[in-house]
Amino acid sequence: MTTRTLQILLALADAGPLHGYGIKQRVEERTDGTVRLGSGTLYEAVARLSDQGWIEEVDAPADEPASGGAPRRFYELLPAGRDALRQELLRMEAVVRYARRRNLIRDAPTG
Amino acid sequence: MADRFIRLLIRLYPADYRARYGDEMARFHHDARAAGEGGIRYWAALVLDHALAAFRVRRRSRAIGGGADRGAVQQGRHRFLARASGRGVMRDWVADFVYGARSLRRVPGFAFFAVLTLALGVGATTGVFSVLDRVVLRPLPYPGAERLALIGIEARHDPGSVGPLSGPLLADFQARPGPAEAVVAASGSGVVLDAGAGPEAIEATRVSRGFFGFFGARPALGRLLTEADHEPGSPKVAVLGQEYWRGRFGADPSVIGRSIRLDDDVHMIVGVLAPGFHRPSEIAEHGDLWIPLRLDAGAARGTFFLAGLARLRPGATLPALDDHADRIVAGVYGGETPSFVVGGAVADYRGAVLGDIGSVLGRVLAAVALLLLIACVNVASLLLTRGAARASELAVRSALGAARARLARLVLAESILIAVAGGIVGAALAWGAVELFRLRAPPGLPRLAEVAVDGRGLAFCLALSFATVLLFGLLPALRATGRAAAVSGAPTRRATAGRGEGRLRSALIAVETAIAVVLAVSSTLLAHDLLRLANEDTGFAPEGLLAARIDLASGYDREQWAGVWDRLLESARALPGVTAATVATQAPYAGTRMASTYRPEGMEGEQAQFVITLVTAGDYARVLGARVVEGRALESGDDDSPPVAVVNEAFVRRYWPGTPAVGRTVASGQEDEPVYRVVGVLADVRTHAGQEAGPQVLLPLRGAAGPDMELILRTDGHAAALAPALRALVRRVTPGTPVSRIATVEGLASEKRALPRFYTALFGGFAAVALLLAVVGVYGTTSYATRSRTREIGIRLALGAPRRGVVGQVVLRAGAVVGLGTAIGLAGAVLTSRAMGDVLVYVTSRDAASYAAVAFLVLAAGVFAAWIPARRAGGVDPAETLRAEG
Repeated sequence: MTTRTLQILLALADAGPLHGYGIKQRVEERTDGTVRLGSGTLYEAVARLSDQGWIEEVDAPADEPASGGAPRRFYELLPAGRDALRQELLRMEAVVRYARRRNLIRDAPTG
Repeated sequence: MADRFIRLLIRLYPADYRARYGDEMARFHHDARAAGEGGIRYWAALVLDHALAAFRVRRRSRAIGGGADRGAVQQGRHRFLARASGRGVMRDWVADFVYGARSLRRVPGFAFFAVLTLALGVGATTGVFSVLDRVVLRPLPYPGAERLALIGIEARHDPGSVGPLSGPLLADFQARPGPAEAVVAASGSGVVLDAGAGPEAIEATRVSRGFFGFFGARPALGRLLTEADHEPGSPKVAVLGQEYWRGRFGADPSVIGRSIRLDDDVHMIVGVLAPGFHRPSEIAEHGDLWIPLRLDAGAARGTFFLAGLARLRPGATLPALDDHADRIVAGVYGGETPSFVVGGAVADYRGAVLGDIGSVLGRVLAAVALLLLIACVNVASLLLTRGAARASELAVRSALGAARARLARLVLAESILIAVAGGIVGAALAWGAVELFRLRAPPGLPRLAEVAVDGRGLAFCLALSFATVLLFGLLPALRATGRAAAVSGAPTRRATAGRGEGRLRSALIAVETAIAVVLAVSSTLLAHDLLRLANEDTGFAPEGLLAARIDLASGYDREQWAGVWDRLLESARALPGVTAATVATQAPYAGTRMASTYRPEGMEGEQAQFVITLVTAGDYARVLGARVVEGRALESGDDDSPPVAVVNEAFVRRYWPGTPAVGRTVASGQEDEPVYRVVGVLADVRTHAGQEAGPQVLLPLRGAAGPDMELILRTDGHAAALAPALRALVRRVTPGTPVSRIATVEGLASEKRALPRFYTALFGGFAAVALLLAVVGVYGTTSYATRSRTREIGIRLALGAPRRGVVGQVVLRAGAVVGLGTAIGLAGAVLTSRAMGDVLVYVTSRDAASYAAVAFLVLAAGVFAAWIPARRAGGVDPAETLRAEG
């Protein structure tokens, strides 16, 4: 799983249905701008994740302010996606645990 | 502006993807820009991001299409993924080729013309290029050949040429070569050889130190010349040329060490040259016998007789060598430079070797390129026409759901079939052309044995023709399917070709006709000229003439020559079968032309003119069969008291145009030399193939007799049979005098004309191919274009148009297009062939017959090509035509 994919899935798991630009904002906020998403890359990933059945297009939430034109497309995490995300996080956790045990990383002095 | 740019970027994605995410991506940017993003870095990142993403999307859609086991994942979510068929790629291609072959079989005319055009283009171009490349263009077979330069003096009477060096000049050049690596020189001279079987006159070449090493020559037997051989006083040695060794000495290896007499000196044969040695023709005219040049300290300063050749150091320039040559000349002669020496002179050797033929070849190569261009334009316009005719078929297929890529592949398969077939036939034609060339080429053509189809040339021609076929095959298909997608499914059965397409096709036909006419006219002019050369009117009757070259120098003194010639003439006239005999410095097609300076009457104050001088005994005109135009010919009683001369028509044209010549005078250019009174004018006699007979002065034998002349006999028909009797006669009358050659003049002529004849065949063949291509191209394209208008013609007839009118209109339109192209082509030919003026001898560059023949053939082909299918379309029941597939 690529960093971008992981971040998109995290953003959707965290903040519910989001539209494309919303995903980008959420990802950049949480990573302090270290992970940036261009629209091309983002939608390429969205198309792929949709094909894999991990996310799904949904109607705009009722509280979304209407911005004129056609309604935006929102994306929501599907159970298969949530599952894949959890698997990935667990794998990462295992890696981090192993690294700590071997003293490969230290906790930051001020936890 | 920004929005439009983003829309443009979004077009990078496949259509379905675009339909799904395009608006979203646009809105994303809207949001981003509303949030304050922008600037150069933003836009650069944007372009890169979309390019990469689009690439990934496209790759993924293909990858998924290829793998059947991922079908479950796809679940038909995306239409664009479902497009690709599940079959193997190879099986698709086989099917496409089978389909392509079938569809080509339905249009045999198109297939035939396309393949024929390609084959002719590739075959003729590769064939001619291969021959020219091997025979002429390849660098001379010497080390550092591109750096060779002729070196010598500039003579006042011959500016612009490189004159011969004197002995001291050569010595100085060799001692101080300056910008040259090495300098060598050679000088030819006639010698009398006695190898034990009586005297023979042959040409020997004296060569300077380092001559053979300079050219990388090797011995086949024995050794070549060494430094010591050039020392005055060392034993005299000689080296035999490979062919002379085979011809004269029967390839006898025991010649090494044998002694032969050359003039009065005994020389020892020390070696035989290896067969690979190519004589540097510009400085060594003969390659039979090579002897070392010996320059002693007192070498004559005033005798200029050595043809010099230098090899420049890498990086050195010709002008630098020229400056150096000037300095050497000034250094050797100081203030005592002979009055006719202007300074040093140099010239690029390759240019000197190629000479006039170099400029001809440049044009031939241009013609070769044009031929290939015609072939390509030809095929392109055929393919465009075919593409237009298939447009509705492709549109229907596209509308029925066939993917665009798949349709493109169908068309591609058809194009590849044509290209491959044309390429194979073309390669075979090239091979055949080269083989024909080798069979028919006159012997003595350089590097004939090496001539073969040139791989690079063939590859280039094939690549160009393939590219043309693929490009112009695919272009209409892509356009047709693109349009079908735009009207989303409603197949339009168009009755006629679109306006734009029709124009493009007409333009192509016109362009192609124009190029073809230019090429065909140039080639026809050249062929016509060479044809006239091969059948030239020489101004004399060569049949039954026998010529023997005899050299009296070794046996008689200057005062005896005239008397000896008279004795020889008298005996020769008494030979049975001989009707007349004469002696002349030059026989037709043989001997060297001698020029002297004269001042024709009326030009006394001006510079003396170089004019070919022919010393002849009486009867010269009668023996040759040359016409006396004015006055009389020279007679046997004429001598130098008073001095008389006969001139030829060319002389009168040049110096006394339009006035009678008899009674006028020609003064010799030398001081204290006689003033000749002209007693007659002879018609021009072309004694050198392919050259105008320049002005000539004929002087009587008595008073101007030389030692080395031609005895020419007019026989009653069996010239060759008289040769032994003539040889016996010379031995009887002048014992010990060598006869260097006895030959019939017809034999000499055919030897000299072999090359022009051969070039006639070459260019004639080329002109024929060019004309054939032009006709085939115009016919093929026009007829196919007209046939694709069958439906239109049917509709017009069904609507009640008169049959003759419709057919006439179609033919007229085709005729107008071809006529326009022909007119442009003729104009172009007038311009381009002006540059050929100096190559053409017998016809002018405005030779009307050549222009008319080409124009007529091309126009006729165009009109005929339109008329046949138009008449057929006009003859069918209109209802049938309408039902037929457009």
